[in-house]
Amino acid sequence: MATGNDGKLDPEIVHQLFETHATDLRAFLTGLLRDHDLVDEILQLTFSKALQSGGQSKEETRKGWLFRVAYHEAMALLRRNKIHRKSLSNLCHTTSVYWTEAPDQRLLENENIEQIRLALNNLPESQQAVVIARIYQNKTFNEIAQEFGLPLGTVLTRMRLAIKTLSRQIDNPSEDH
Amino acid sequence: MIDFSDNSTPANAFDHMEWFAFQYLSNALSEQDALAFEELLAQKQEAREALATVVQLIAGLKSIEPPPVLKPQTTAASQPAIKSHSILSSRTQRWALASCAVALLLAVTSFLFTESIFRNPADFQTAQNEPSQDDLKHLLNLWSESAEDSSFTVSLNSGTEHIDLIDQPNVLAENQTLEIPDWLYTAVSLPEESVN
Repeated sequence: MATGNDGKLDPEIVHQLFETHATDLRAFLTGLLRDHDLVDEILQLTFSKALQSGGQSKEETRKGWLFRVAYHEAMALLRRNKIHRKSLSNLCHTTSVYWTEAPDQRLLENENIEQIRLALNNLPESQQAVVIARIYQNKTFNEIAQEFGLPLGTVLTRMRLAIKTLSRQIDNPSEDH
Repeated sequence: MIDFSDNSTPANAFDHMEWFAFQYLSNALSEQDALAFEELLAQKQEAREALATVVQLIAGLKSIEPPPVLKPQTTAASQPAIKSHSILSSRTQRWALASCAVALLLAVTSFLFTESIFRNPADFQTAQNEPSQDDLKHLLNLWSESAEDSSFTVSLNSGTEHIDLIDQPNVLAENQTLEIPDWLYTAVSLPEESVN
């Protein structure tokens, strides 16, 4: 039986959901919490909730349900620990820590990494230069604009186009739930 | 506050969301916009997935070696400008080098020409203003012989070893006694009617 009358979800189904969505959920939580330990904690809590009450959700919207639960648990954790996003960022010296720290290998499949590599190499040089300066050299957009002698808007546009191209290498988005 | 909605097409809406997710992740949004984006995360699955996608993208980029650092590209127009500037520089350098070579050639030619002239003073006008002592003696001898033939008496002061040719007429006047024949006076005397 997949679900019970009490809203519990079959552990086998929860395991399948974990196999399917844990990577995306981890990435989403990393964007919110920016701390691997907190991410692990909320991820575990989310799937515990799925075991306890995941049966209340429809099967076709279960991914959305998982993300929503993860979001609320993450925000509750931040409030509980009185960690505001801004103060968390300040504590971690803003995004520089996030950008420079070793990436979590659990966030992405190797296949995706290879696709991103190819896509990066195929970007127009103007976009490549902005991506390298921002992601690898941790320069701000203002610094990049000054260094390249470009308007800030042009730098932002190039970055936006690059993100659009590169993100195509990652799974396509699902429909809004 | 930023308008996060872009409902033109689902793809555009997702691109739109990814961009704001990237800015949220970069702390590039204002406090108010960041809170608004978090509200959107609470409501829209596509916003949550966009954030996940951007995090994965950055993780992927961080996992790979960056391509060789490119020179900063400014605008499409400025790139050829830099190139043409370098071309211009090399052209200028070539012109400068050629000009220097021509100037040097002219200087050497001029120097050699001058040298050859001063080594052969007879060919040069100014050299005639400074005749040698032998030339002067030879001239005076010729003059003396001529004077003997025409009742001219020229006595050369042997003491004037060095004669400045500029003052030569005066020197001759001082050191030589000339006996002028009568026929010469007659020849050069003016007719009486012109005197009157």
